[in-house]
Amino acid sequence: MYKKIICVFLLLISISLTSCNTTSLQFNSDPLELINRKVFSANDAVDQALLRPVSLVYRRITPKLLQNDIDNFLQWLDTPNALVNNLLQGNFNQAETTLKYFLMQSFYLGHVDLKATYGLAFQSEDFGQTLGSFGFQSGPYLVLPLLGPTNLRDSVGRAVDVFLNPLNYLGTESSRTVFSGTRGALEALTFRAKYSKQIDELRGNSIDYYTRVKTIYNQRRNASINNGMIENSPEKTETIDAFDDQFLKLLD
Amino acid sequence: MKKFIGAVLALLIVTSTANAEKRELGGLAEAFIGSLSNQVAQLNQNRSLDSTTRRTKFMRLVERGFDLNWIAKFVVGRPWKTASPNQQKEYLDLFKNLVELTYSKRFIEYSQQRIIVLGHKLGKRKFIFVESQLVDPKNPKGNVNIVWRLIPKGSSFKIVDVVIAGISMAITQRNEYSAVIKRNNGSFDLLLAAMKVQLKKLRSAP
Repeated sequence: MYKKIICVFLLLISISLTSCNTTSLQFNSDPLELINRKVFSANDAVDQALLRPVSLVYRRITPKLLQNDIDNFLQWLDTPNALVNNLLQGNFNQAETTLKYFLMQSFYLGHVDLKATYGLAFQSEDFGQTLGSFGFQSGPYLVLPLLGPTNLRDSVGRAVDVFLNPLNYLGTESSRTVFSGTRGALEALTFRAKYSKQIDELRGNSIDYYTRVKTIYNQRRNASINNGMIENSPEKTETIDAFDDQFLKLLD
Repeated sequence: MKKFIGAVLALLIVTSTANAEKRELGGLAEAFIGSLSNQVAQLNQNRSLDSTTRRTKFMRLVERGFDLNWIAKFVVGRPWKTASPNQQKEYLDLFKNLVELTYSKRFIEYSQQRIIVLGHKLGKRKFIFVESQLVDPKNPKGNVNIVWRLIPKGSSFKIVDVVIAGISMAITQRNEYSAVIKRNNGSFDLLLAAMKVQLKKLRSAP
């Protein structure tokens, strides 16, 4: 089983390596748009029929403090992964913060807001971001059933993250499956509950919901790879073709 | 030798003057964003105004601060040039109405948040980027980085894009409009039709 998974990873990584050397894969590369749109519609139907109503009930009946604890706990589960990726990216200052965050949150069991109390801000890092920081292009945009928007690089990253997180090696295989399934469902639920208003607004304000989500996903990932826009040179944002000279002349 | 030293000195003076001018321009851009956001915050806190008046005043501030015509043309992209004058006019009207409805609703909900200007960077093509943070006293964990893309206009500035947490509003909308035009075989009229449907939906929303 593991051998098969490793083979798939190697294949995906080799595809991603190839895309690193090509310039044809653009910021919004979407050669699978027809399939992606169908999966997107199916995901949206599941969201509207199941995830949205359940998340609204969750938000209504769960005390705010408990919601915060659950958010903190889920974040804590992600810290080993973030730590490994901090180190892989050579970001040792952030690695130190992540380690402190992990240890302190292990002690407080998610009951304390470490940013407000100790100024410890958790910054999510995944292997997709690490690949991005190494210069790997995103590759084609993908919409995965139930998992939502991603791209080739981030899909590879997501799969590698499963192996990088030491918490995924605890317990028996069946308990790990139950645990990761529950964790995934809980993450989806809390995310939907937290950003319920924004997602509903996005859905309602779009004339092409699919394209809007795709563009936001791509930009958000780029910003995450650059660790937020504000620390970076604004010229980086101008590498996107949208603001090129030739186009701007058209507006004169 | 004297000539050479003179030339180097002249070059240094010219460079430092240009740098000082740029710094001044950046400072003015920061002040522009600071002042505009203060005016919006004051308007929002003025509870004596009814929602229609507040929305009208808000829209006036938006028109003063943003170059809506520039943004509208940027968002639709190349098809702007091939559209007829009637289509262009209709598009600009629809675009402004959509901006008004989308953002004024959001503005009314944000009463506690504050914009704190952090600094600026000078970009290519005359763009100035003012960096700021949206601070919410109710949610200290939820501060959001906002970068404003400005162009100098006369003695002041105009905002041409807002980048919220790394997401450019202009690029997002541009990709969306381009997709609608592309999916409808380049038809500008069908984009206008989609915008009208959107406007109707927003007007009927609570």
